[in-house]
Amino acid sequence: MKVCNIKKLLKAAVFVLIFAAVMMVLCQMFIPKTSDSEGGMANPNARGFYGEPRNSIDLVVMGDSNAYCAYSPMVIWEKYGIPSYVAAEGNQTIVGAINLLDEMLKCQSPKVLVFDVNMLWSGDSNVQRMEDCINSMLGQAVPVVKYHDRWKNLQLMDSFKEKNYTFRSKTRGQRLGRCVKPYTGDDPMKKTDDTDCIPWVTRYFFEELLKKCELNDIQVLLIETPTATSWTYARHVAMEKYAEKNQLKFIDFNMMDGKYKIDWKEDTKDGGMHMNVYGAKKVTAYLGKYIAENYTFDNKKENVEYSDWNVCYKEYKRYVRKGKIYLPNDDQIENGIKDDEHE
Amino acid sequence: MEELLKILNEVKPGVDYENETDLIGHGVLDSITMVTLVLQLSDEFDVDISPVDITPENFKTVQTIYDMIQRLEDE
Amino acid sequence: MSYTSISYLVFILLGSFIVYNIVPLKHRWKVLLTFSYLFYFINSGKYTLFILFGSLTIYVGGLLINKIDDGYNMARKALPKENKKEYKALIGWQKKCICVCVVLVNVGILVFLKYSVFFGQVFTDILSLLHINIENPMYQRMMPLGISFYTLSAVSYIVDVYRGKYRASDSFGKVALFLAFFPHIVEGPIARFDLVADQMYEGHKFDYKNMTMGLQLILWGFFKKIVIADRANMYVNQIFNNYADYTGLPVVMGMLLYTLQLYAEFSGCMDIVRGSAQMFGIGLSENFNQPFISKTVSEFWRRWHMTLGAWFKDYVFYSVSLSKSFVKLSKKTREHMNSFFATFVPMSIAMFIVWFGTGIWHGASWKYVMYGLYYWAIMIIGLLTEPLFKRLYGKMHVDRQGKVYRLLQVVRTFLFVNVGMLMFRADDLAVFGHMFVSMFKGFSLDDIADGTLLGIKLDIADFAVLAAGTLILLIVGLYKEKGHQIREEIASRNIVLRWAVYYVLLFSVIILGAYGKGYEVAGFIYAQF
Repeated sequence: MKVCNIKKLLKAAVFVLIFAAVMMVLCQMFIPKTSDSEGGMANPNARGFYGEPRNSIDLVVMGDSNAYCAYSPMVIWEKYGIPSYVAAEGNQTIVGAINLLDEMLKCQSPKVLVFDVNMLWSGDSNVQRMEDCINSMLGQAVPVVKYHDRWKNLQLMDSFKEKNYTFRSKTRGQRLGRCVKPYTGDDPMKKTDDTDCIPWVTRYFFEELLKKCELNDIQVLLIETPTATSWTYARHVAMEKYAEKNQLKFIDFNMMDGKYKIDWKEDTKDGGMHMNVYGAKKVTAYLGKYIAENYTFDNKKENVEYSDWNVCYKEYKRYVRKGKIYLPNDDQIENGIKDDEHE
Repeated sequence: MEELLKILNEVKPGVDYENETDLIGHGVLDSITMVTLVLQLSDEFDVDISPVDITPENFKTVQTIYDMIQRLEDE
Repeated sequence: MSYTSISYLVFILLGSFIVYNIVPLKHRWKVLLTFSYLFYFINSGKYTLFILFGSLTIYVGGLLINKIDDGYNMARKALPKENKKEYKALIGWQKKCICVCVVLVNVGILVFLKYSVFFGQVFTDILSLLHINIENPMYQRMMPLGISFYTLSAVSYIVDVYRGKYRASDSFGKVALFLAFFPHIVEGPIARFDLVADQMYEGHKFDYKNMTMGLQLILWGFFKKIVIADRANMYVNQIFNNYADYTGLPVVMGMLLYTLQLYAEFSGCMDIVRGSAQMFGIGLSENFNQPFISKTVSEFWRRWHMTLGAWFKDYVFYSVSLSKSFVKLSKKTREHMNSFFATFVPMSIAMFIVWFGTGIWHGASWKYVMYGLYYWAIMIIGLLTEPLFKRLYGKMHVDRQGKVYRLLQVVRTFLFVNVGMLMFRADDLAVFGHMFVSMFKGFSLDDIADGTLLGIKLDIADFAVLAAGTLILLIVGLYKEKGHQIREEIASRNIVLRWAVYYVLLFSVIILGAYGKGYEVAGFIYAQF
């Protein structure tokens, strides 16, 4: 190689090195120092497990917005004394879920993961799913990419402090809503001959997630929380097949009958996309029963270390008792939900 | 040449064509005056000027236009 | 897969760049072709067949024209002089047939995919006027990636070959690469075969300078798109999607920011595109040349989306105005009218066709047709009133070469352009009318002070970034206009200053960029056309 080429190579290397060094400093600066929304934490409600006492969570539910609307940790706590957390983020990607589980495993050691499979089909195409996954990975590896928007309220003094993650979610990750806006369309689970399969991009990462759980001694239970707009019968069939083949348990709440059947006139807060708190009660009741029958958990209701869970339950109950808010027309939906939402 | 200058002055008067060194680059001929010019030239000199001939090189100066017409007449 | 996505940068650009520089020189074009079709297939799937078919038609059409030309050249010497003209006319007719067929097939596919719903609607509307009510039989079809752009390139190739500007290529790969080249396939610049095909086809050695200059241009494009355009996009969307809620200053601001957004985004995309091509040693045409310092709207269109304007000039304007029927028409007008109208009448007709085409090229709706005709009307009125103003200014002793007059011209053009942009972005013509009127209703500068303006999606920090970004665009534009080669000049400075510029750009894209959570994902606007 000629001398001049070596010089150029060296120059390029130095440029990249300086870039990397500055990026490291920036990452340090931009990563949130507290785990609440004031600290700039992404979805603080999903990350309240940081604030729980170490290894105090026994069961974790992961998924997208469907999951944080449809699962009530408080209901399971009251009936079975199982401390659980729903670590779900809106528009979650499968890589995002893996990242969140990694974060959780730093401070908690759940025995069972209940995983909402709805996110496996998110995205319009495999290209887009791939891009979403790449972006999630990049955001996790280089926090300044994820938290760059904090530049507006970044304070130099605070930028180099130690992390102090103490925020706790009173609902343990659930997003409550009392509104009722019925779903009026056709039966969302009408049997068809359509076939579907898990997109290969998400399936690949999903299997990584399963491996990670096995490695950490976490049992996995797959669920699909009720949704009239983002699930189909074909997906149900595909998921059943997949679960059977891989010896996984799968509960599809869209296929429930009898006492646990979803009433699409009463149980959804936004026309079929998400459960309100009353729908969530129904879902959690069945899920709790299933978990109590199939897994062994200690009942920690009388455990003094968990006394504040009982306090939170009372608050949850007070909220539920306030009753449903029926939304008469479309205009009020947005405001109604905003006023009513409660984390 | 006389005739050419006459046409040019008709199409766009007020330009010192004989001393202009870049008719297109200096914005003397835009696409509208260009077409008007080409139409009149093909009429007067009975040549077939096609869109391919409308290039900045051919229309740079009076001389280049003249050369182009000569060339086309020969064909 | 957008040009600003990680997957484009890593898998397509970096991937092809590495492979390109590994394989032997003479095979390098195959790498570009492979990656171009890969990129196309990822984005459009089975619709890749359309561009493949388009490439085939112009390739075969070009070869046929070659063959006819060769036959003529062989026979020419043997032919007696009197038969020559006849023979020439015959082969001219044959060539014309081929050219017209190829153009019709390619434009026909575009029209069918893009405009069938629109024309179906026009047809049913006409029928309903006659009290015949039928449903629009057409439905919206999926569009292959970049079809509006590559169709124009395809037409330019076959027409140039027909006109004898250059010989058609014997290599199908070369023609296919010319159409599908991955940097320019999504939104141009609309390529000309004689300007780019050889560059793409011949292998280029790795060149450090080309690589770094290309990367810098890409970075500059990212800055424009992610920091400026995507930020403005949030405000613009809010205003245009809820236009009934706003009057006065917020609407004016929406219009101005949309102009900024479209410029930053489209020219930014061109920087990414041209930077990508430069990494391979391929120079694509400029598409922007400081459009906002134009003194007239026709100058604006010579500086804005230049390859589109040039295409319409070369293949529509000249084709129409130099066609036989037009020559006849202008002969007649010259016989019967004074010299002003003798030019004005045929020119305004030819320009009507050009601007109708330019308008509808942007999209299948009356809004886009009107968008084109809006510029046509301005130019026509300009032409008509030109003698009047000339006299008026002469009497008033206005110095038309003076600085003030020129500045006023720039401002006037800027306003015309902004109104055009308002029409371009509004949902339809009725909305445009509504918004145009509402700009003048309740206009008050208090909106700045009392926070009305700052409450719309963007806060003061965002506006500060937009203002700074606009200022940078302005300074860079004016500096370029003075004839400076900014990139060369930066490259010639000492390393500290040079690197400082690059790092500032790089980190402002990462930190100030309007991407990720809390920002709407904004696709490239022109990629939909």
